[in-house]
Amino acid sequence: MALLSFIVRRIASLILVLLAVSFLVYASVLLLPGDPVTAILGSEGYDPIVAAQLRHELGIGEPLPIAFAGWLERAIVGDLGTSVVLSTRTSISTLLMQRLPVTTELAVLTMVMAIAIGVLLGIVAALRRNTKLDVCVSVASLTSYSMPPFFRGILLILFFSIFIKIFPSGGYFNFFEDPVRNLTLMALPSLSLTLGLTGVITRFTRSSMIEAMEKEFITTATAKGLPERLIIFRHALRNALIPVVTIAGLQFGALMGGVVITETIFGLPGIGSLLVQGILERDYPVIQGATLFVTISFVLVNTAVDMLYSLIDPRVKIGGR
Amino acid sequence: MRHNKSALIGTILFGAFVIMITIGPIVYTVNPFAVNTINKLAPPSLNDLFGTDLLGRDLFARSILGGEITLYISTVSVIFSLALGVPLGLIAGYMKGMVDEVIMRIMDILLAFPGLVLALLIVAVLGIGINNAIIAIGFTGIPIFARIVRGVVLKISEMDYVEAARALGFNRWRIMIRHVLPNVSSVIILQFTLSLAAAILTEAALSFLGLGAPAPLQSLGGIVEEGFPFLQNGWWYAVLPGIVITIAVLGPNFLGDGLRDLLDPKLRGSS
Amino acid sequence: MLLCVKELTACYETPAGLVRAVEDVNFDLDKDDSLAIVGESGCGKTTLALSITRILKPPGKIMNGQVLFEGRDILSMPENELRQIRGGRVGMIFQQPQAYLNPVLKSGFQIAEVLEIHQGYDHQRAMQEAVRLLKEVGIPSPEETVNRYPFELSGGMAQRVIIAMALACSPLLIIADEPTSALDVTVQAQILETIRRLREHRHTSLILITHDLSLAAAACGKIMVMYAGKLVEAGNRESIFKNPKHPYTQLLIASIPKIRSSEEFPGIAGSPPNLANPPTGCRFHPRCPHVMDICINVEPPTILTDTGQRAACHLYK
Repeated sequence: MALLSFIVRRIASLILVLLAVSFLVYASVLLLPGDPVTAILGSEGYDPIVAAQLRHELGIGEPLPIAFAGWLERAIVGDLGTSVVLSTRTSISTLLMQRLPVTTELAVLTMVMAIAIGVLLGIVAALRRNTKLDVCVSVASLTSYSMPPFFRGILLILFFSIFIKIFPSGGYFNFFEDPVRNLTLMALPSLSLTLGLTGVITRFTRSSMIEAMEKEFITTATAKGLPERLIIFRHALRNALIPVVTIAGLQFGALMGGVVITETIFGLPGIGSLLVQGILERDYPVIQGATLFVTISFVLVNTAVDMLYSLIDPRVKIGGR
Repeated sequence: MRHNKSALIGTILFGAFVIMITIGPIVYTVNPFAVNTINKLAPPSLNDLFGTDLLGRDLFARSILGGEITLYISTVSVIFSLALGVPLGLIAGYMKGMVDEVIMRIMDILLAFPGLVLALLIVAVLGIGINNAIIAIGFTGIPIFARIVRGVVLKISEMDYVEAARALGFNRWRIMIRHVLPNVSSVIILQFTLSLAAAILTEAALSFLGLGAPAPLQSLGGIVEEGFPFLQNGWWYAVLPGIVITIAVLGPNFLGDGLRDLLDPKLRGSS
Repeated sequence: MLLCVKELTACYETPAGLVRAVEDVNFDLDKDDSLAIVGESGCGKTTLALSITRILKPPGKIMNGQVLFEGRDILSMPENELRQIRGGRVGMIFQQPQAYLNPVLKSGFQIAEVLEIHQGYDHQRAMQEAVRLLKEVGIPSPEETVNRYPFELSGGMAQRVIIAMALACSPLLIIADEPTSALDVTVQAQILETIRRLREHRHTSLILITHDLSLAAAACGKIMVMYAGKLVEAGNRESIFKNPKHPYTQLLIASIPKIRSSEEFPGIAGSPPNLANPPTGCRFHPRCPHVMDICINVEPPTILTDTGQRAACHLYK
């Protein structure tokens, strides 16, 4: 069955990419000038025990393939090493797990809102093509994703935290403990990300819809006397959404970048802010752990989108090319 | 071609930005490094168009300087991406087979990293600095050039007129130059504008996190970072440079849009 | 009279100017009639077809005229009434079957849609009827085909699906725009035969649009020749072929290749005019072998000739 072979090939490709990514993340430490351990810990007065542990974790001194294999093995079972900087020498995987809910919530909130609003706006703009509404939507979309994510965040804080004191501008509260507080704190961060992502999705949905509406099978649908609602949603949209799904998956990567910045601005204890912290403190194991985590999430999301794509487009599902 | 509104707006916006940072220093002769702690955190006025920062330095003058650095880093990064990506794409598309597979796999792996994250990783390894920022942002941009160029090469080589040329015995290289290159250049120009917009955004993000061009030569993003803590009482500090960045990004984005419209109907062959 | 088209004029608004694709066309079609509209590419025949059911999309625009279907004017009808006619009373078939079918919906579903909307069938009944229709149009294994996607079908099969879709609600009129031009020659003959058979069986009127005069003669009893957006000759196939009146028609017939003849292959000198800026007077005058002074300045009226057909030519006043 063509679908099965497609899935198998996709998974093989996935494993290859994951291995390559892990290797690059692992090996990046070795690119530090001089001895990696010294470079990380600083050149004077570091704790030899810490150094020894770091040396072991990074597999320094061993041949590269073996060192990598060892690191990877430990990573797979969840041991990503320990933070060099934090006085409590917390395990990195613990850190990641603690911060995962924050980032996940931010990402999910943003994706859901952006897709819902973006697709709707895109359809409206496509149907009201070249009207004032369409132009407004296009320009607004372009402007919102031309703004740096941090700037969107800053403007939102300015308007909704400072000028009009609706939302607080920092901090985090666990959702399950206090949903309302959680959402008020997440409102501005996710809004700043949503504005950008919606811009991209709107533009793309619009152009995809316009293209679909000009296809010949829409003429057939009209000639069949189908009501406009059916022509738009059943015939045009089904075709138009297929490439939009792919774009949404790819935009997840940009979203990850935005998450990093947004968590930093709004003081959210997520994986993004962990990464930044790690870089500023030269805490390499943390940098590796966070980068690996974010990248693998992106790869998995893209693979899932690919699979989804093959399910909703019969041309891929059944065969052909 | 200027009746294309998007391209026009894009050119105007980007032109405004470029004028600001090139002619600016000649007209607005304030020294961006001149500290004047008495006048710190002053709002915009006729003397200080953007107000002053925490050390009393004129923010407009700093923004001009910052803009230059932003543009410099972004442009060189995109050229870096282009210089590596285009040849890779040409080779992959032309050679096909194993070479194509390998090159595209490497591109896939680069693309597996979310843009900013890859740049962050590279900066973490190489250290903070202007050149490192260029390399970091440059690497993020390589795959898209490679992919796009490869796509064009593949499409062209399958076109009937290329097969015809081959059948007539024309030299492979001659075909490449006369047929492939013109088509590739229009696509590269389009992608250049889009990649420039992306590079400016990435550069801004890096410098906002303190990982871009180091003080005192901060780019616009760095100035915004400085101004962030003062948002309550000195909003101009963070907002005005931010607007400059936005204009700098809007320019190439609008331009790219306009260019894309120009290219597309041509490709589709509208009646 | 099933269909009366009066003074139909349709144009395209383009940056290069107003393209007058269909100008002042008049014709009638009765129940059980079959009419072929013949002409070169760009003569306006497709525009005419799209105008009859008002599915002409911008930049196309119907400027003037009436299309009386069963006595009601389609061009001034409210949208919801028109929707009932489209698909329900008039079915349409187009040129490239694969392009005119939705690639992400199953074939059977696309047929069932028409029945659900116009006849109020529920889904199951509509699908059963779709199977029956597929069989009627000559598809060998209809139960399987019903679940296939268009890209899984051959050109001929896909066109049959479209025919089934057009016939689903037993319309009074089928408009077929170059239904076989994109298909292999052998398949062409089969499809035409299928259409002929169905037409006879169901007593459906047919408007067939084609550039192929011999195909027109084989399929339809009445023929209408168009040139540069204007109707130049119309009548029964016998009178047109035996006594073509308009010089254009004469040249068309003369250029049909005859297998047994060793005569030279005549063409028609010149090329079709630019419809944004058509020739003055009779639009055919630059290419007409019988051109007279009056043809350059005055548009010829449509005259009923002695052999029964209408022709727009100054020769017959």
